[in-house]
Amino acid sequence: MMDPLLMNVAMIPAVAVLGIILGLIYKGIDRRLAARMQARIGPPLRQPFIDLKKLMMKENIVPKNAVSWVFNFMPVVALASSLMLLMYIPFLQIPAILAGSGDLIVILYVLIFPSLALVVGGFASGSPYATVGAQREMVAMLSYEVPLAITIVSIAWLMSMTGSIGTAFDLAAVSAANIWSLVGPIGAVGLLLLLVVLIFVTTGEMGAIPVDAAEAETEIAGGLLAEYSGRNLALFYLTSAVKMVALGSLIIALFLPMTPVQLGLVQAGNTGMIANVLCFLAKLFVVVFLSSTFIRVAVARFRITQVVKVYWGYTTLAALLGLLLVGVDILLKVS
Amino acid sequence: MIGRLFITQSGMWNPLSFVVAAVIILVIVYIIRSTGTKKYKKGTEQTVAFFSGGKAPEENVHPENLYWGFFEAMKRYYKWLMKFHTGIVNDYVYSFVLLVVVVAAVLLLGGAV
Repeated sequence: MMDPLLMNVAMIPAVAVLGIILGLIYKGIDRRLAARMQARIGPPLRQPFIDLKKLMMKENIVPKNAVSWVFNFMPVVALASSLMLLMYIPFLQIPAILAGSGDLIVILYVLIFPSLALVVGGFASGSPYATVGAQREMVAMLSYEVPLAITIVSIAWLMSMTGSIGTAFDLAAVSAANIWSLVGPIGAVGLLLLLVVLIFVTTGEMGAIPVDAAEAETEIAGGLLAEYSGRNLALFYLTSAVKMVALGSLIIALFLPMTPVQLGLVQAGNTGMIANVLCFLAKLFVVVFLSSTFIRVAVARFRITQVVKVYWGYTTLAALLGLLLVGVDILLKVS
Repeated sequence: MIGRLFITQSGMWNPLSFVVAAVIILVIVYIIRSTGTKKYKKGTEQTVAFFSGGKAPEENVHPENLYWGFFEAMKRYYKWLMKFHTGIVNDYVYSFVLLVVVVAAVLLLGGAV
């Protein structure tokens, strides 16, 4: 029998490839649906794969003013860190490869890397549009990290107050506990608010409209990606696809962990496993639809000052209100 | 499990497994990258930074403007905050005492003391 460590190491490339393929498929669905909602036919579902192939065939231009090694290395960092996220988050009914080796705090840190790589790559481009985009991305990062942190801490606090102090930040434990079963009606409203907050934070993390001020094609010509082309741009393209899957999987693990087998709808076994995978794909679709497709069709781009106001103002307030409701629920239970 | 698992009261991290996974993933990413075209025409017009057909300015965003969107959005808050920075030591001590009173009140009411 294979050693568990070797088994895990062997699984890393499989999960990485699966994450990339799934990300590209969902990107295709997202683009097609957005087009249909705007009364356009839209590209075929395999368009992201075609785009990727095309980008790989194009020249990989490095601007003469760029810091070339940083400019070339940052797309690698961005994709690698996005894939690292998938190693800590259970997805497609596959337990996290590095489960037990890192908690939600590690995930929060790794989550910063792809955006940071974009910022550094933008500054290394030596282009005015890219530096403006990088500056905006930094401000956007500052903005959405606050509600994200409040959401994660709220869940950890809920876990610790309901008797799971040692595993409060352990994603597998949070997922297994099903946080909805730990609260009453008031707490459920609080959790619902936190879920909405996390979905909107996902929009910011993915840099999708309306929080795409850092790219803003019609204004600053693609911003921090203005000078990227060919295989470097392809890696950033893959980064956004993988990040979409990783963030969706994180939301599912935190807020929507129940499977058809756990709900008793299907019996365990091969049928149960297929039902669980299909259920995961459906949940991922809902999360992607709400955090990307729907919102970018419904809302126009925010200015960068509006991004700060929306995240530091309304979204943070909503997260704090969610935390407060969860707190009130716990206090009522204790008393 | 490889390496040492650092465990706090409510969290854990194994740096060695992180590094091992990161190295494997970096290799995967480099393999993907190597399938793309490497070449471009060095020293030609295509390496000039794009600026909508014009000549790009030499200077870009200054460090003091890095957080422009943030400061602009929070302008009212910063203006309000700057009122307290009078430069008079007495005012700073008053602020400190006020903060201590608030913290003590919270601790007392919360039953921590």
